[in-house]
Amino acid sequence: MLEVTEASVRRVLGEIGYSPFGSSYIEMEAIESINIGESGVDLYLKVGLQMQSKSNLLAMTLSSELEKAGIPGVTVHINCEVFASPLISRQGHLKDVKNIVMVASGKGGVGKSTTSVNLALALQAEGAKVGILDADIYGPSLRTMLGIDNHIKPELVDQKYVSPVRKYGLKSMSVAFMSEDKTPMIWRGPMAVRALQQLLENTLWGDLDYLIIDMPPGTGDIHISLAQKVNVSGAIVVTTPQEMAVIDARKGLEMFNKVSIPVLGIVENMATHRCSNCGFEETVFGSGGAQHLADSYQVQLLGTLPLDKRIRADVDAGSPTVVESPGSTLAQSYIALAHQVGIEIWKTNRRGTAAPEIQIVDSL
Amino acid sequence: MNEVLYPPILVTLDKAAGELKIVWKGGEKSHIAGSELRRYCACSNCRARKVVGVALVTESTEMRSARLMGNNALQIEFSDGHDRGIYPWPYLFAIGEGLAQEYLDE
Ligand SMILES: Nc1ncnc2c1ncn2[C@@H]1O[C@H](COP(=O)(O)OP(=O)(O)OP(=O)(O)O)[C@@H](O)[C@H]1O
Ligand SMILES: [Mg+2]
Ligand SMILES: [Zn+2]
Repeated sequence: MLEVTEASVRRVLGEIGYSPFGSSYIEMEAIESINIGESGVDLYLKVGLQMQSKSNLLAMTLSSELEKAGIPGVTVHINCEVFASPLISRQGHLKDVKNIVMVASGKGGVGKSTTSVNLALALQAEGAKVGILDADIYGPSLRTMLGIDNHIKPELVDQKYVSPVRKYGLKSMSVAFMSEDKTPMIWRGPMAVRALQQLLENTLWGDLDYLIIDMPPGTGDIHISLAQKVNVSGAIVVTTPQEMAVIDARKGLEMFNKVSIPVLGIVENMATHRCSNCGFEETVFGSGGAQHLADSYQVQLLGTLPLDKRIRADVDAGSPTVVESPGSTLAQSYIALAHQVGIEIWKTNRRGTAAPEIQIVDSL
Repeated sequence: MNEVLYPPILVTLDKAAGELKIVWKGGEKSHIAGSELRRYCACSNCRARKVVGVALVTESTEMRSARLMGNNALQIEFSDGHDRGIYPWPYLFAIGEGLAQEYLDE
């Protein structure tokens, strides 16, 4: 048996491959402290994401791994706290928002909104505080997807600010919440960008670990200037396996690179289809495109979601799959996606350099 | 240009001095007068006016505010309300070094 010292515990932690984060605990600087006592060892880990469905099991597995490596009797304590992005300046009412994540695509209809809302709920299910902004001024869909009644409007505070509408505990905001009728507002480029920026900064988000922005489809001027003006922590690009969608997703990646927004990774939606008769899972539009794209841009493939009519039926009914069938494999896929997103944000934030401090001084 | 310079650590808009003071990541400093920033405003309007030779003398060179624009630029608002100028970090550095025109020509 090994002599149990803080150094030997650290060494073993550096050596054992098992870490759900894709890098060792040492590399992630996840070790808060190690206490070696008479009755055993206490290992305190600090993890930069919420993962309530996994953390206790992870603590037990790690204890067992340590035992196999010669250090028995370790009690692992996991303290989860979402790591705040150093990149963002938190203007206006975004001051207590730790991370802002844009969900974009090149091509329309690939499932940005469906993925955004299920991802937001999955992050929340794992214990994070989450908000979602529907930035699709041309075809807002958040009201329908969350089943928010038409008469429910955000509450105006001090004539200047609005409270987000809450559903399933999620704080949500959409341009459509503000307009009286159903016809979408006709906004041209710069006006649209300004309106969205205002909506973002004048919503009383409060404390959030993640604010998800569901973007309109495309990579046009509006997108570029929105991506430029809104100070974000990272972006997720959604695609389907079809060649056209992948080509457009590439444009999305290029756009974020151009404006120095870190890309957290790619989500491949409607990738496979399971036959409802025989249960056989097959690829619908060919496969490998999203993985290939991720590889060539050195970003993660964060998750793959199947084409499944329940996903559509659930958002159409205002009760997304994560809340409608929490035990289903579909919901589990969104939870798995939420973990990968949480891990990538943690990693990106660890690497990032801080946003500059801006001071305005009036007198000498 | 040297990537490791950006982003800055601190940006100070000194209204009394009419100057923008920047401390870059590696400790280098730039001091840029409001008049320089106004002259090199690269918004489509200002560029168009320069092309047709309209003088910019009537405009305010006094800066009212500065804010971060996305992750890689600064937006400056002048006291006449003009706020369309967006200055990416490398451009600001070039202006500070007196190399703005070279940067634009590049
Ligand atoms: N994995 C899936 N399985 C089945 N249907 C899906 C899936 N993902 C999305 N859909 C359905 O596909 C349609 C388009 O999805 P969604 O509105 O989320 O796409 P979008 O990218 O946000 O579109 P837009 O570009 O118009 O904003 C919707 O009817 C949605 O219910
Ligand atoms: Mg959408
Ligand atoms: Zn200008």
